[in-house]
Amino acid sequence: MFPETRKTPKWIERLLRMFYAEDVLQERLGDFEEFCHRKTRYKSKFRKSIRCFFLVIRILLSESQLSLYWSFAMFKNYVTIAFRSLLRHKIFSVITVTGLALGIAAFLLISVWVLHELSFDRFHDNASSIYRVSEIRHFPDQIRQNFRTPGPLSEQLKAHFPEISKSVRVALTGERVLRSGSRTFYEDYILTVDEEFFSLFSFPFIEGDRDSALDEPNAIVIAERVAQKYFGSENPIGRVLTLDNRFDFTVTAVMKDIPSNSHLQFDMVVPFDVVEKLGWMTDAWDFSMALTYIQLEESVDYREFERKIAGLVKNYDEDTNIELCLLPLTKIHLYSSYDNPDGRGRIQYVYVFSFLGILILIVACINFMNLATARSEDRSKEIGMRKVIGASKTHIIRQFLVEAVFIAFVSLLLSPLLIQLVLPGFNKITGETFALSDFFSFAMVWVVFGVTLFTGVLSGSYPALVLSAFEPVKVLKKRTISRRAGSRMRKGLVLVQMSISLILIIVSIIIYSQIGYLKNKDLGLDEEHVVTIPLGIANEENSQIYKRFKNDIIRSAQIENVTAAFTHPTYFGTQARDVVYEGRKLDEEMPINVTSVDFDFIETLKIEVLEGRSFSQEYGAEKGNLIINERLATILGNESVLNKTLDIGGRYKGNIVGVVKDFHMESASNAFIGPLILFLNPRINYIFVRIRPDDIPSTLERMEQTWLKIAPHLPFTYNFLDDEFDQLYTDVENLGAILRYFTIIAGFIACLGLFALSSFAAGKRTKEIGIRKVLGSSVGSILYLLNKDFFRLILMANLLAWPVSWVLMNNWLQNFPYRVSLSWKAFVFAGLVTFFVALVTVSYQTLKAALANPADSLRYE
Amino acid sequence: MKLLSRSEEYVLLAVWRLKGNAYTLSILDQISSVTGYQWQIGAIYVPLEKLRKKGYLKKTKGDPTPERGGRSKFLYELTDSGRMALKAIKEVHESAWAGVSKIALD
Repeated sequence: MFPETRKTPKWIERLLRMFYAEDVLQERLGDFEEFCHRKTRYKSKFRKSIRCFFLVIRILLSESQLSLYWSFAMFKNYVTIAFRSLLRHKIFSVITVTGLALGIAAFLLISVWVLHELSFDRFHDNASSIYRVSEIRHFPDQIRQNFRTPGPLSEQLKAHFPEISKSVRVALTGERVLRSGSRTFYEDYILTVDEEFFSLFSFPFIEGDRDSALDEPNAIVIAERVAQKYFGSENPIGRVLTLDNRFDFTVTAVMKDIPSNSHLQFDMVVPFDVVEKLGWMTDAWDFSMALTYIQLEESVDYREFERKIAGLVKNYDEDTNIELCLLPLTKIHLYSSYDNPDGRGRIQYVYVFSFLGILILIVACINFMNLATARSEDRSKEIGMRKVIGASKTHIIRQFLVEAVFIAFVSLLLSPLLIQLVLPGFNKITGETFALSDFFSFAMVWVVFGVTLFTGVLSGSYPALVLSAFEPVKVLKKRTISRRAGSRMRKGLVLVQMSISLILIIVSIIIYSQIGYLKNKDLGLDEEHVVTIPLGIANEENSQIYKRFKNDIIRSAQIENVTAAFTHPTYFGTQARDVVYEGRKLDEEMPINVTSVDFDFIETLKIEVLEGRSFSQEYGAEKGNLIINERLATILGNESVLNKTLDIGGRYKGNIVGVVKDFHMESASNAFIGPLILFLNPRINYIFVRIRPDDIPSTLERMEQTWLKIAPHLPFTYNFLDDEFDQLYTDVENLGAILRYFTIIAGFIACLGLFALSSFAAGKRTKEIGIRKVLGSSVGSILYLLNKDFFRLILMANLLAWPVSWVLMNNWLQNFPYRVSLSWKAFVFAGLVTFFVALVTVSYQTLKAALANPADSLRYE
Repeated sequence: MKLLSRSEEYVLLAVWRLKGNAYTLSILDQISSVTGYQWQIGAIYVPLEKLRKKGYLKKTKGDPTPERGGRSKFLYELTDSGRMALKAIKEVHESAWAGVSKIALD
């Protein structure tokens, strides 16, 4: 009627609607309105509305004062009673609190990890407007994503698109030798970048000017830990570092160590020209060599912009199969990774672990619910009394919720202890360096309180509903409520709990066996007792060092064979371009790997030759001869491929002299073995030495001495090939390890609950057992009587858990090109494990009850 | 019959005095002027509601007014038992104060 005159804010009206019935609400709102109407002395509309707002608040407060006072008084009483009942039933309390504390601690561990994962790259000032340009390559039967892009791309992007405010190329140099005075190390984390790098990214500096740090062509910016390593406590600015014993760089600035939540991990930064000096092609459109990062203007929609640049490379290289796409900086870590640019990144771990944390919390909550309702009879008199005095159902519900939340907070106090206990192991698995303070930091406050409150409310909800429904007359007359009260629900909850534990066990077993399968898989080469030595760079000088080293140590009886290759077997081969076979352009059908090796490569790694022969010095320099793998042979066709010609890049015509059995060239968890071409060339990066399995230390010692004699300016570092292959699986392995530990925690919590429940059940039936024994029951039949309920539950839990975990694991295994088949053994084994653990847990109490003297149990009242 | 509390007494008395024009704000003004200081509106909601529940007051919906943003006034009216309660409290006061002169208190 007079709506334009209303002054009460709409949201206040909405808020009040929650508390008041309609007619009371109308009265209150009318009053507020009239009040505000009276206060017309404020001229400005704003001040008037502020004034009205406070008026309303004051009215509300003064009205609710009394009820607030009483709720607080009751609240205090609830906490007191909760505290007393905790103290009275010590065993139950310990079990409840331990269970909840374990659940909360596990959840906090997971949340800290998840928050850390989500925080990646967000510390950059421009994080939200930075994107990485990556390329998608289309082959007839597959699509491959590559996070590297051609060298000239960055400049062309910047020149033609005003939407881009900054564009930077970043190339990783790979392992290099770095020297300052007498200190020489291999460095794996050197970036070559365009000048705008430090204005695009906000990596913090300690010393030096970030705008001019990379102006000089021989400038180098180093991280704190590098400065420490080469210069100790001396001032690093202006000092010289020598790369590959060829290029001198002057330190212009020192950065803070790169934080662990940056997807770019590096220790040093040099200008981009350096890669050209190292012999890379930076101007070719068909050679993807650099990461390209761009910053878009704030108003640009990146999806739209992505469509605009998708076909850009076609303008410069007509034959290209490259399509460009953008990935936001903050998504890079979670949705792609170096080993796995296809986007099946860590985000799935984030999901899996978040889910796991919630599951464990639920298991812990169920524990609480079961114990609280099982013990309901202890509290029935109290509830009856409260109701008689005048408590309503709502009051009782409120009481038990408060009690549950109180216990949850008591458990929270315990959790730092538990976290502290497992933190070292957790850090080892995740490869992070979390400290206890990270768990109770400002960012975690909401998580910590939220989860505790949630746990309390969730676990208190069901008991509150059950207990508040008690009828005072019945409970006070000591007509005990039927034992069946709530027992069906309780069984259902135990069932859920057990099924969760079972699923976790089955999943752990299958992941474990898949990892074992991957690690023990026949790689097609013999990776044991092979020492790999990196050379840092493929040049003439290093080839000479390799030759002298080989000639020297091959004479030792401890050394079986020595060889070298351009790439490492864990990421073998570089992609070949323009591979033509009988007029077919093979590289357009699928990516083809090519790498150069030395004589004895096939013999040293014990790769099987299927057809033809291996490279051999009998045939001279083997110039123009190629060896291909089985996979490529099948692509080439069914008839024999020996002595056929392969044309690589138009420069190299090769004659196929042999076919080797497929061997793995990367993590078997990522892809099938791809086609491969091997040719003989002295350009090498890695030396491989097959040693005899006995007395390895002395062999290594001997190798080191030989090395120092031949190449005193290069550090002698080595790895074992089998270790390096194992490292490819650390990601899956960590997933498995974390899952295993959390499975144990979930199982333990479930056991706690089972234990308490069984002791409760046995206690309730003390008299019954006594009478049965007096009438001649055997211990065995009483045990059967007490245990059969639990075992029926376990059976049902198995029936529930098997199909669920089968579907889950079947899906997961689809991710792996090489995988174990799902065997029934894992399922049965998990079932048996739960059965026996439950048997032991339950039997302690039931056996005690069954063995008790009936005279005692019949007298106990 | 249980005696009224002091705030209930004031509210009831104010409703009686206002005769048919008793709604929340007029009651508030009335009490404030009698006691000599400004009462909080919240402080009269509780006694009003209690009195209504006890059956001493009757609440009826009145006409909407522009000051109230187009919302209705809710008018309060004394019931017979309300009148009885007022009478009872008055008697209690009188007998409690009987014989106490003004001088005696100085």
